[in-house]
Formats: sequence, structure tokens, C-alpha cells
Amino acid sequence: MSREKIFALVDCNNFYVSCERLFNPIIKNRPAVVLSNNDSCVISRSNEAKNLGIKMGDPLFKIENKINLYNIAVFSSNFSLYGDISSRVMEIIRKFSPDIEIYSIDEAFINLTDINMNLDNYGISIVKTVEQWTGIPVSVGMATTKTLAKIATSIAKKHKKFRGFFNMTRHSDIKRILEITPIDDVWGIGHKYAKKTKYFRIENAYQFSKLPDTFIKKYFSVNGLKTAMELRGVSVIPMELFSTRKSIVVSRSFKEPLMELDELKAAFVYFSTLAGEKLRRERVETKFIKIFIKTNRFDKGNYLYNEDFMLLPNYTNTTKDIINTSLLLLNRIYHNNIKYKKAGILFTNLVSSNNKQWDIFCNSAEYKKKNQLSKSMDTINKRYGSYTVKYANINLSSKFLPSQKRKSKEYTTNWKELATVK
Amino acid sequence: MYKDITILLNILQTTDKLFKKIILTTAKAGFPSPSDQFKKQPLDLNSIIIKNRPSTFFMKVEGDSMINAGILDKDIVTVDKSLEAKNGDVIIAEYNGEFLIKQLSIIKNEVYLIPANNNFQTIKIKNNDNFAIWGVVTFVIRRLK
Repeated sequence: MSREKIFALVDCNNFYVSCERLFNPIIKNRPAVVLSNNDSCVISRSNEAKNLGIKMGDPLFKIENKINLYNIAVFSSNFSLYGDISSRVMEIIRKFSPDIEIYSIDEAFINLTDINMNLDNYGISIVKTVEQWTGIPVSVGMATTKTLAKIATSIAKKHKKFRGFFNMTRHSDIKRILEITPIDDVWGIGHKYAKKTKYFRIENAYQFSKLPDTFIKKYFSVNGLKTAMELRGVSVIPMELFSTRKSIVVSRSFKEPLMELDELKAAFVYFSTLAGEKLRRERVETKFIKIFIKTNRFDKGNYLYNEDFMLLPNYTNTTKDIINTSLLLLNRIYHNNIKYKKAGILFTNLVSSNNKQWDIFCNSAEYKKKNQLSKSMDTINKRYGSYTVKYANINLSSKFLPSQKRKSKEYTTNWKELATVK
Repeated sequence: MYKDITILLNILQTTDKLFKKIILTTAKAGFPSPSDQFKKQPLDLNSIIIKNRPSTFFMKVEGDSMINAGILDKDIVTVDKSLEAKNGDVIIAEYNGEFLIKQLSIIKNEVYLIPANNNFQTIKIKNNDNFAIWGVVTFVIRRLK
């Protein structure tokens, strides 16, 4: 048997709010929230905002009262800022170990199996360095599996006395910790299986880990079994060093509902442009394109959701292909006289552009030409600002451009928007 | 029928390209330039100014409070958050919700923010002030023309 593995998870605390606070010292002690695209709902909360009972996903109109009452600072999302700060955090983590897996914009796993150092010093040093160098507070948890490291990190985050670091690798009482970990909080189980865990009256991580393998496999699939093994301390989920994303979504809710087909078409051209840029930035291609349109989810009686998808003959990441496909799909699912409040486009089954299998019948000359065009447009738009060059049918109607009234500046990515010092 | 022909044409086009490429690469044989072995990277300003990329930020100066230290209105300064601020360093401070650029002075456990301009007052940090050191100023960048 191989020797015991050691993983750490570094997780930024209230990441988007922390990025805003970095450049707005005035809101340091004020409750603060960051809103999703189009300023529709809450996607990040400061601890003070959490204590005021504001929940993830709360729509803006629902918390308007609290905002006024408690003087809550509210920000539109500023992803150029968050993206830059994230890459700084990841660069620092990489100085500690080259063997890292960037799990999301604000989380990374580190494989510490071969590190011959005092693990406590190591963990404390990561917390201190990231906070000092970037101003972003982080929590670090260590354990013998990735799933347990996730739990260790949330313990580090919840309890102030640990100062952001919790080492579960030599913890004698893992059983006790698993008993107080609600099953919904376990990585890989979460809300996806909420109904089943409730039905079987599985309340905490310990109960789940003690279930027979055959039972878990039957009701929670192979992945559920992997989770159970990891909770038992057997590492079966490896580091994904070259993780390509499994799916990409671009979606927006509209400020005012769209009813006309032409308006929706313009919206989908815009989504396709963003989505194409995203695919090329991540160096992935897709064959599977899905779009959806829906009405206001708070309008209970009249809620309507339509979707359709298409499997393309060849892999693509060119904007032109995505526009053509999405408009074709839109024609299939659009209905008259419906107030559409949100729409989006989704790609799954992504493959890396570098190692995809070439379709023998793929028109490679045409493909390369389109690809070159898309790339040139990306370069120009990056240098001279978004939408300097665009496809003719893109109509940037204010109805679906993100309304971001409370966006802070691009302090780290735009020379014209630097923070000022007196 | 029509479709088959296009497919065939495509294959021909591709193979044609492939051949061209092969021919081109084999023809690419000549004497290497004698300067190749002395080739070095051109000077990059970032290599001086940015000692530690993830902790270095740019900020813009507003006002005259530091003119005697050679830091003028509209200058851009680089700030390194990884450095431990020492007595006498020019720092960026968070002071009651504002960013200030001043010289740090610590005398007998009292912290002072000292401007470099006689028209400005020295700030003594009091217990109820919201004060923190944000970073240490490392370079000043000024456009002359």
C-alpha cells in the first residue's frame, strides 16, 4: 500500500467582497455584498452581511430594506478585478508547491505528500503570505484526502480561534468532526442528493461514510462511493493538474423583459461573442451547444422555461459558428407574447484545442480561416476595449447589456482606473 | 453527389497544404546567423520595477503632499505589499477610509505619517483612528512629455 497522502485546500474568504475591500478601505468594517451580473442577486457577502441574515442568491429587491437600514455597501460584480487578484493568489500558492490544482476562482488544492516540512508551519505561512501580499484573507485546511481537506478548510474558516488554518492530518478525532459536518456540506454530495439523504435520514458525514459500499453505489453512484472512501481517509480523487473545464455558460437576466424575436436575436449574438471569447481563452472547443430562454422565476403562475440543443458535426470555438447555431436554436424555441427575463448559452463535452481528434471530413482550410478571424478580433478587442470590432448583427441594446450601476474601478487592469492616493 | 465532391475537394486541399508545408520546411536550411549565440533578452522595465509580481500594485498620486520627496501630482507609484514597512519608508496607509501616501515615522511607539511639503500637517495616529499600512512605495513613474 502506498503511503498516506496529504492535501491542503486554500480557500479565499468572501472572495469578491474581499477584493472590493482591498481598494475601498472605507467599507472595511461595514457590511458589504457583491451582486451577480445585471445586479440581480447576491453572490458574495462579508461576515457582517451574513450575520444580518443575507443569504447567497437573495435577489436585490428582497434586501433593499436591510441595505438602507444597516448601510450595507453594495457592488456590481467586477470580474476584471477578481480575475487579476485570483491569478495573484494562485501565483503565491504556486511558490509553496508546484503541485497545485486551481479548483475555482478562489480555491486551490495543494498536494503536500512529498513535502518534508512541519505541516503546521507550512499552513500558517500560506495564510500569512497570501494575506500580506494581496490583502485577501484565506483559510487553509489539511487532511489525507481532498474531501476531508474541504471539511478541514470550512472548520478553519468558521472558528476564529484557528486563525485560518486547521490541520486534520493527525487529528485523532476525525469521527467527531464528521459527526458535526452536515451531509449537505460534504463535497460531492451537497444539494444534488439532498432529497435522497433526507429520505434515508442521513444527516451527517459520519453516517454516510459508515453505509455499506453496495448501498452507496446503488443510490449515490460511483462518485458517491468515492466520496465515502475519502471520508474514511482513503484518497481516491487525485489532483487534476491539467483540468479542462467540463462546461461553459454565458447567461444574463435582462433589465426589462424582451418580447421581440429581433431583440432576443441581438442578445444571443452578444452571448455568442462572449462565449466564443471564453472558449478561446480557455483553449477548448465544443460540439454540443445548448441555449435556454425563460421568464421571471418570481412570477410563479406564469413561469416558462424553454431550451434546445444541437450536436455539431465538428468541434468549434469560432464566434461565427456559435452565432449561427444559437440563432437557429432560438427560432425553434421562441414564442410570441412572452416576457423573457433571462437567457443563456451553454457548452458541454469540451475538449482541449490542442489534443482534439481531427475529424477526417472537417474542412480544415475553412476552419483555420474562421479561427484566425476570431483570434484577431480577440486581440484587437483586448487592446482597444471590448466591442471595438464585432460581428455586424451585434446590437448592443441597453436592455441586455449588464446594468452595473455600482461597479468599482478596474484598479489592476486599466491604467485609467488606478486607485488614487493623497 | 454535390456533398461528396466538396468533401473530396477538402481532402485534396488539405493534403496539398500538407505537401507545401513539408517542402517549405525542408527548404529552410541555411547558415545560422553568427549573432544567434550572443542573443539576449532586450531590456524589460518590469524586471526592475516589479520585484514581486503578485504583491505589486500601481496607484496614482493626487495632490502635492509629497513634492519634496520627488513625488508629484499625477505620478504613478508602484506599491509592494510583500515588504515589511520600516521607519522612514514612503508608504501607502489606510487612514480613516482613505488612502494616503506619506513617510512612515515611528518614535517611541507612536506612529506618525509625515508629508513632504511644509503646507501639510504631520498626522499622529491615535487609538481610535482606523489605520493600517497597505504597502511600501518602491518606484515613482512620471511622464515628462
